[in-house]
Amino acid sequence: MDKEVISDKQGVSLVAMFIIGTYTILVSGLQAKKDLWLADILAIIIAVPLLWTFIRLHQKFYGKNLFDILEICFGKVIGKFMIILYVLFSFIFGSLLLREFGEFYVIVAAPETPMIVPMVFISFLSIWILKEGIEVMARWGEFFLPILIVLMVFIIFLLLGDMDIKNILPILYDGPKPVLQGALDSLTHPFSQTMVFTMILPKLKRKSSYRKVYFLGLIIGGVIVFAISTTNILVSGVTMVSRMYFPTYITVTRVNIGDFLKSVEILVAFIYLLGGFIKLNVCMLATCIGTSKIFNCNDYRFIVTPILFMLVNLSCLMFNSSIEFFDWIFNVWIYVARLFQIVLPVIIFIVASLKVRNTRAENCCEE
Amino acid sequence: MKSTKKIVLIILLFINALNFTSCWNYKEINEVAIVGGMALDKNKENGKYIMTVEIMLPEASDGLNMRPEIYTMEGNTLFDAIRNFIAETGVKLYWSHLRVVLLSQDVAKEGIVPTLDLFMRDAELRTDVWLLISKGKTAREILEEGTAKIHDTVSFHLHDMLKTEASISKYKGVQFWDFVKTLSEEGSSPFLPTVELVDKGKEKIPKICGVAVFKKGKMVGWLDGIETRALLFIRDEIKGGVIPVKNVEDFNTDITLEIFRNETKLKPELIGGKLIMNIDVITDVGIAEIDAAKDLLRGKGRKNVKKDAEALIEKQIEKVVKKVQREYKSDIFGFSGAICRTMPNVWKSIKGDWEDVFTELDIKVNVNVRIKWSALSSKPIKIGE
Repeated sequence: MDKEVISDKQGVSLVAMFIIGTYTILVSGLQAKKDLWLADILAIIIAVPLLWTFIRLHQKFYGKNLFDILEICFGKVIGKFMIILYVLFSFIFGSLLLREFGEFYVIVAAPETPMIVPMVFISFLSIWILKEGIEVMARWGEFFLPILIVLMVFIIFLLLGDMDIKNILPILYDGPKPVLQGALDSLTHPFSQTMVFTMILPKLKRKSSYRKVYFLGLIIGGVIVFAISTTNILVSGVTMVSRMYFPTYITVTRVNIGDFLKSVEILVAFIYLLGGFIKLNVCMLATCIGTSKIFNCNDYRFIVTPILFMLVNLSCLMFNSSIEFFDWIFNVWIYVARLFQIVLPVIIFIVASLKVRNTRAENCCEE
Repeated sequence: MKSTKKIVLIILLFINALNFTSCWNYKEINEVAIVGGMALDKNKENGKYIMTVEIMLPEASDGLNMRPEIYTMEGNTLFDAIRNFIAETGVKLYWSHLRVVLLSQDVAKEGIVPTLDLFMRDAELRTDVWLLISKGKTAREILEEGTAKIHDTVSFHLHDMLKTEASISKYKGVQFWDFVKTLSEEGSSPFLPTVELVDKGKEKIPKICGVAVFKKGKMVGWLDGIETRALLFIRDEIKGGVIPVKNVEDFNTDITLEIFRNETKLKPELIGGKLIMNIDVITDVGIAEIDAAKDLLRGKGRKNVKKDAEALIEKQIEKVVKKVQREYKSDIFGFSGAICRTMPNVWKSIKGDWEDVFTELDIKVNVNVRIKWSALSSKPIKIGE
């Protein structure tokens, strides 16, 4: 497992695609209403120190992932317990992503197809790429990120004519409070979700690589997220966006160049598929690595297939309807996610800093 | 051992290939009925919706023709009616190509919102359909009795008329998403173009002119073509159109101006605690037609034309605002948005009783007509003596 190496560029594209992933169709931070773009910028700024804690964790324990760190910092018992928590977190996270994929496919394209069909297919692909390992995944990401960016720019370019600046004026109509709430939402989904990477990133070439991977990924992903949400608001207006499950998809239906170039919604679906696939795989990789860590196994590959089948089952059984699903995501999951993505990493970081200082004091000749 | 594995794999591949051939519910084009337009009425006796659709059947003669056919069905809700269609014809309607939706006056007066939800919710219906109000008794008469001249189908005919509104400006095509957006904004109310049947010889053709004014979700009245143009002047949605100026001062001739560019700015202003709406219109026009052999292009003539055109537009704008304020009390001009954008604090204090504020609102119209072109001729046709 130690042999796996990914370059900085590949790491950056993984993080960027992870951030863009589901945001293409699920726009968050809508409490900010017309000031969504402000909320996005704010969220990116807040995400910087948070990501810095992830980076420091990586650098302090060079070559170790979050599960190793948990065991070192919290000891065998509490450490194991926290590993189990994080495995469950990433597993449920993955099941939500898979479910979201199924929902999107069924609602938008094929209402009569059972939802399990697209889910099974995507999980087959997932099994394949997970067995190949993070290297293949990273190369996949490196290949598709430019395509994704080009498509996104293309779509926004087509929508330029439909934008109306009136949709975002006046700025800060309801004061700064909704903007802060929106920023917190945007931080939860998608920026702080990058903490899943602390569980899977292998040893990068240099210690400084981590900084590059996280921050450059954040910038690329952040700019695209900002572009998507601002385009949405400028074109459709805030009421339309907040009323839809998949606002970007509806916004893009407005593209109509001379009655000739229209119905390009499928590009949105394509972008979502690319990013969402990476996101799902990153989460499942974290689950598999964590599970093998719980049982002290060296390799995670033997466990991929059963876990993915469990995932499909969970995604199908967890909710009865799409209404329930979206309700749960927005009203329950968002708080759980904040705990695991923002609060716990900071605590782990503080504990780890104390721990490292102590061990340094004891035997300073190490390192 | 290895060969058995291979054989099993191949068999599995074949089974899969047969199972996953293509879409779950794939349909050939002759199995679906493509809907081009829909008209909605309400049956007064039992309160059910009467839905009339114009479906297009592809017909292969020389090239591809579209043969329109009209069907009518009833249902408690829209979707109920749509599905009742199957019981009569056996084919399922395909809605992605829907272009126009016609609503009868009754449906619009009762409140349009209940009929709109389906368009928003259903994935097959796109949000860029045109909405229209029928000025006649029912909405279905447009589809049933109207004959299209250029296209085979009335729906496409209407679609064309709405798409090329830019060079007439006597009506304004409103797409579904636009309507919903205006409806959901604080204070403002939407409007929709109206269509009626006009006798032309033996045939009846649908004609779009003017708009229906809504007060939030309910229709309250009409504006005619000229009033609609004034409305579009206020909303800064004029892209073209003509202004005939009658009896230019001192010259006693008619002249027709064509609008090339227009910019309207709504500037709300607080003067002594009283809200005043400044409507500044700057219009670039060209001279399209002069109905007399008099030279109006130079000197005093052009000044008079400018003055008269400005006075005309000003009068029309004032008239339409007065009319809407007095009769309909619904802000279709976008005044509320202008106030909200430029002075958010003032808007917060008045939005509670916006209706009263709106009806009492004073307007000040400044029109600046700039004559920029006179097309190809520099002088009118001269009659030799």
